[in-house]
Amino acid sequence: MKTTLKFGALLLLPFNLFAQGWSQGKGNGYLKINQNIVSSSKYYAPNGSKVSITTINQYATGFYGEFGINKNLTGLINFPVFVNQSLNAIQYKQSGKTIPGDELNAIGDTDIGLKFGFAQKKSIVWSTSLILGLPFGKTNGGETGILQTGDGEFNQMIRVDASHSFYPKPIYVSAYSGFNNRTKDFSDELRYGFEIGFPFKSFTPVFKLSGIKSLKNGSTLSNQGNLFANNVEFLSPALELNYLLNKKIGLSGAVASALFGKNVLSALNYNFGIFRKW
Amino acid sequence: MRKIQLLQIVLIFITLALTACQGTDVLDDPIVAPKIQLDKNQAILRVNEETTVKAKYFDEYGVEKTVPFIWASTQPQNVTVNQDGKITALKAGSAQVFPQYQNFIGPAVDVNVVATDNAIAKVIISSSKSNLNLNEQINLTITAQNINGQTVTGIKTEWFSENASILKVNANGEVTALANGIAGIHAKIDGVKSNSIDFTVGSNSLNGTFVSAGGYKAVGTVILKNINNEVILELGSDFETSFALGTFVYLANSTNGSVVRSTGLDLGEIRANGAKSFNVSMAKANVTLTDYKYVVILCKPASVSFGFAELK
Repeated sequence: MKTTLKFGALLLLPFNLFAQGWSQGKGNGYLKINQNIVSSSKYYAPNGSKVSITTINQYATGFYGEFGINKNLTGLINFPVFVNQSLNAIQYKQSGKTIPGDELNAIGDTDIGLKFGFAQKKSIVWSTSLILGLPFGKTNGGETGILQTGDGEFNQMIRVDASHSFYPKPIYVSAYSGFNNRTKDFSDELRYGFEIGFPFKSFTPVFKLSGIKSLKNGSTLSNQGNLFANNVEFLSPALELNYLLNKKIGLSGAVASALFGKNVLSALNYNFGIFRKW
Repeated sequence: MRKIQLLQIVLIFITLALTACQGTDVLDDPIVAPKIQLDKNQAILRVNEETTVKAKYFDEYGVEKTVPFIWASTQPQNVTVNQDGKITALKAGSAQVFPQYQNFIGPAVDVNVVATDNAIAKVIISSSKSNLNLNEQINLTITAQNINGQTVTGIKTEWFSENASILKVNANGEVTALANGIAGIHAKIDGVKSNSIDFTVGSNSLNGTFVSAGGYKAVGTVILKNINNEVILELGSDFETSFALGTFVYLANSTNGSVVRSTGLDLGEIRANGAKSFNVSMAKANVTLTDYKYVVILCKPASVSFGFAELK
């Protein structure tokens, strides 16, 4: 097993939650093309302290989709089709000395899943999902070998979502919790999140809070590596703004940060995209 | 019209994706002690001859800067120096000439002025080794040359210890190590000063124990030692560290990852725990045991320190 560097892991997650207890319903769907940007010169070390690092940048362009297979079953996909990860060059101001940077362009790890909705007519609607993390991304990339667009492991996550609408008031709340079983000696994870949204006529602001807790049962810090990609933990608030251009098409923009973290970048993460509903 | 708008948005995405590229971190160079460097440390002249010494000033970032030096001679009756570093020999004898910039005084140039071509112009001492055990004795050799490089003999030979509590030297050039530390020995023949040799007494090695940093792991022991006049770094069999691709061993005078990467001595990559040795002298000629204070385990590409050992 090779060491992987997953500096970009943190803030790819809050924007695409496969979220909410509602099913899409047969024939309905949601597709978003989005761009995710993170750049940071600070890193949360395993003990939670912030350390300065050579700046890491990640630009990811991808698709996120939900498709109603039948009344209760919804297909899910999160597919980063193009990920650019780079390590800045270093230039010393006084001496002019330089250290070259590094760059990797590749497809990213992809999530596919199925969500089964139940109690869809109740005040609190529920769903449970099985999401598979497919290691399509490249590991050990770039000249330095530390860049990556995936972690190289196949993971399986089971999660439960619950949602409640305050209709006719334009408010909804959702919460989820999940267990992510990781392979290749990566630690398993507990994932959790909460969101509150305000679906006005064409404008929907959403506040999200999501987190990861590592069970630390993987061989982190071993000489087998996985140093930066394993035992990732964080609690991340995010603000997302959605605006409908018409009944089917809309724009989405979001920004996320971290209240605390371990083994992740310390930076704001930006995401924006265009989506279509049907 | 709506399709055109959507196309524009998609094109913006594609443009952003294609223009994403690496940038540059602009950092200050690490702070170092300013220094003055000379192009020679000794000059041998006949009366009325001249030579010029060139000095360079390196600031607190280690960057060479053009500065106005003030030059001075310790024996202006023998040797004078002008503000361009030009030395003029006035009469037989010796002197030291040195540059100064603000509060920084540069190293001295030893100037010997000879009255005749057969007079002693240069004295050279040498030693078979420069590391001594406590109470160890060693005999130094000494030779004298005239201005043409021919061996000559003098009348009066004197030996000097530059720290008598660490080294003792007798009239025959026999050095005795008295206490742990570093000290120099030099000699004079008929008043002409020789080169100086620094001896390290007692500890022929420095030891360290790794301390983990930032929640990463670096534990175990390390020894930096002199073996046959080569400096060798040995990680102990109990050495264990976190690993990333690009995990390197550095000697450095800082534990800050960025500073280590820019100013430390890169000894090489490691991919496994346990005992391993590095020839430091191969990485840097003339390195000594005390040039660096820390051994640092560094994720080099990201400049993240996994831990360090202070050498004592």
